[in-house]
Amino acid sequence: MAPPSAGTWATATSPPALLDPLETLLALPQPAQYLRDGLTLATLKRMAGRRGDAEAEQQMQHAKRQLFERFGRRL
Amino acid sequence: MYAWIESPAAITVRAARPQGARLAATLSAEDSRAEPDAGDAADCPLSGQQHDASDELSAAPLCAALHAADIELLAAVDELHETLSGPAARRILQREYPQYSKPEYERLATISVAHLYNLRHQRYRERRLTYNKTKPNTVSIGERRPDPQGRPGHLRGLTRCTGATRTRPKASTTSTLSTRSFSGRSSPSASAKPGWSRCWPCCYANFLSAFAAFIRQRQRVHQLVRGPSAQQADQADQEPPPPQQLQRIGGKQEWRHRPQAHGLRPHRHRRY
Repeated sequence: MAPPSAGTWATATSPPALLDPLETLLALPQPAQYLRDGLTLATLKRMAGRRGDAEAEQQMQHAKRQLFERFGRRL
Repeated sequence: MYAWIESPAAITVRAARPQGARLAATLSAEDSRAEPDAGDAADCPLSGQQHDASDELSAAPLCAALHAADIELLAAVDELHETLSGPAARRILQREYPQYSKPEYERLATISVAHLYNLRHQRYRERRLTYNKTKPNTVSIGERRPDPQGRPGHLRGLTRCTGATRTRPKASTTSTLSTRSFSGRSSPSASAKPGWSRCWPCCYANFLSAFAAFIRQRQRVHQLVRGPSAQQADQADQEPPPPQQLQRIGGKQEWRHRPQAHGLRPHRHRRY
């Protein structure tokens, strides 16, 4: 990445864009080369568009709570 | 001011001005940047997509644009995401309505970061107020060590001071006082023959110390007769313990000619 010129100070110091992991992957050049075999970008986009951020976060919190409840048990 | 904004004349003026649409979009979806630049249209496609809705919102007061249900929803989102930063939360709220087609986020999609923080500080604190029980301390208090085997004693934290470490030869208070004059300076002549006319305070101090020793001796005799507190009477003639010299930096080291700087050398002066 080239250093910013003298007139682009505000652009260079602006906060970075907020991207989710899929958007970060799609921002790479030729992201399909980093996928596993049998996985396509269309599949990833379909999986990401299936539920929103809040719904996905709710499922993740539920799974995390279930996982943490197992830590306190004595086997 | 809000009455003027709600008036049809203001809406007409905004519709007539070509820059009015841009101004309304900026007000409804306040950007975190200080000033809009040329790349705003490309950087913020959401404000362009919400252009029609923002025109409707701009005619109403900004504070009243969000309902109580929106604030509840915002609190729920913050609770789920564990209170992300303002820009990240705003980005999530922006994605919910146009990308995932959730109509309940329609008004929250246009909220600014500053307004988001205002709502966090003011409105929904009651909703997100959580109470955590005080966790018990795992360190046991009053544990008896070593194990007393059912017998009394061995309380942790209590040590018995027997005074055996204080046994010293008898105090040389008399000789010390006799070798010093009233001003506290040592004088060989005074140590040889301390006359009454020269150091009467020293003689008076000698008398006091001798009288105190006599009183202590009598007390010792009486306590020996009583029995149990004889050990304390044995300690009555002992010299009082030296002051805690370890309380200052440098410990038992003697003070140098610059006592205010003794042992304290955090910043050395560089001398050229």
